[in-house]
Amino acid sequence: MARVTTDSRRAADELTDEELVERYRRHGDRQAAELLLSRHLGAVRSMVGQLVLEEAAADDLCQEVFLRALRGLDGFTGRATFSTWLYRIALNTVYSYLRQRQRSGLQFCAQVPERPQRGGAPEQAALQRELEDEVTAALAALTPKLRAAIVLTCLHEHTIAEAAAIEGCTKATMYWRVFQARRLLERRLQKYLEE
Amino acid sequence: MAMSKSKRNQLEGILCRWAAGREPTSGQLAELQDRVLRRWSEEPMVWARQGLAASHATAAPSARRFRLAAAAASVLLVIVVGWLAVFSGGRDASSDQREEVGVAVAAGFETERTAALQSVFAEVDRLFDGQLAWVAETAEQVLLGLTEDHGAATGRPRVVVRLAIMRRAAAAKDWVPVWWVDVLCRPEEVVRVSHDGQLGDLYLWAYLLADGMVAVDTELSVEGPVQIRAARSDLYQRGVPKILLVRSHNGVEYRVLQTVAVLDSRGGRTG
Repeated sequence: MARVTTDSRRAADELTDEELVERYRRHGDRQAAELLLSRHLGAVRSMVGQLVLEEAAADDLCQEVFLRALRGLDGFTGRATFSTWLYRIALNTVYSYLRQRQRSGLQFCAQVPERPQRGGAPEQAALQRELEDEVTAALAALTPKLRAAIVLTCLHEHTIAEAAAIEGCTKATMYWRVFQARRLLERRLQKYLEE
Repeated sequence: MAMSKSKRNQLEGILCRWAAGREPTSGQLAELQDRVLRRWSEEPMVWARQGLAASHATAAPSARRFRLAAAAASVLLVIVVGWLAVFSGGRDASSDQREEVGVAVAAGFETERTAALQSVFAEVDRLFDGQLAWVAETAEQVLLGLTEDHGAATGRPRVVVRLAIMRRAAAAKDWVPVWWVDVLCRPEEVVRVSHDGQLGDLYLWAYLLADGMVAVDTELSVEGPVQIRAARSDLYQRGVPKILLVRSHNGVEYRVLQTVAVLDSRGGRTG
């Protein structure tokens, strides 16, 4: 591996994702692949956690996503952007896991991670925790595709077209999924929404 | 029921606050990044890829050469053991040149892998009511193909085709597998996989002949440091690999090998 210097790191920082992939493919530059990982790890880890709703599994799945992506960098052709390609790998990994979990007959239990007590009155904190539990349960009640639609567009701010490209479906289908997911969430969280 | 804009905004606010409360800390992310990089660096494929890069560079550190050689040797050792378990009884390798044996072993089937593929096929075929046409497995994923022909092929033998891309640096003696796919399909079913991350474009069609030979049409296109494109129609003796393509690039040799085996409908090997 080439020696990592501050200058070369800075130069690599300025490259686009696609340029970094090309650098890795052409020269086997491991630093380029590591930079891709650090750029996208946070967003992908968040998305995976929001989709599986199970903190313990989220880290393992996220690791799997990046290993698949790193192994497959040689096969990335640039037909889609790198982030679209990466998110697609993440979605497929999550869907496989959810299918496997369903087949294995494991009881799904959406987990709410332990969080430190926030400031404010204890009643307010309790209400906040109750709302968070309700949101987790409402998301868990959605099908994985509907959950992915709302996570991609609402929480990760992808446009409908981008979300459709990641899912490999039409824009119309993605519109419908987002609409449907919102409708079901609104129904479930009715009491927290003011008229 | 249409949702008002105000409710939509409130819902988005609730979801965003929920997401913010579950964000992993920077410490968790740093730990995860270390885990990924550690796992990645332990993979033999990475060393093989780095070996490719080294062949373009001027000089590689000796420690790295050693690790590359060790990784390549361990990969080949695993394959040789699997190959010997399957073929040691029936195949006469004495007439092959040493180099050819090195290439051929990587294209052999490991019984355990073939059995696993057969078991996936049987399970998924049941799930889809006899409509499964083929299963393809790479190091990364398993892909499935369905047919409209509802259960028509039940009870017929199945064909397993392994395609492997091998590489060898100019001065190296041993071949290292850099990519492979195992396909289990019904005879006369077209297997077509369009570009999908790990697996390039693949077209495959196998036909069992009365004399026990297998006719196979193959078209393969894999993107990578070197583009591999192979198209060939050939007759295969069961278990005997054939070279589909020979290529050289910057002093590195590449070969695409294909091997065919036939399983009876219960998964037993017939050749």
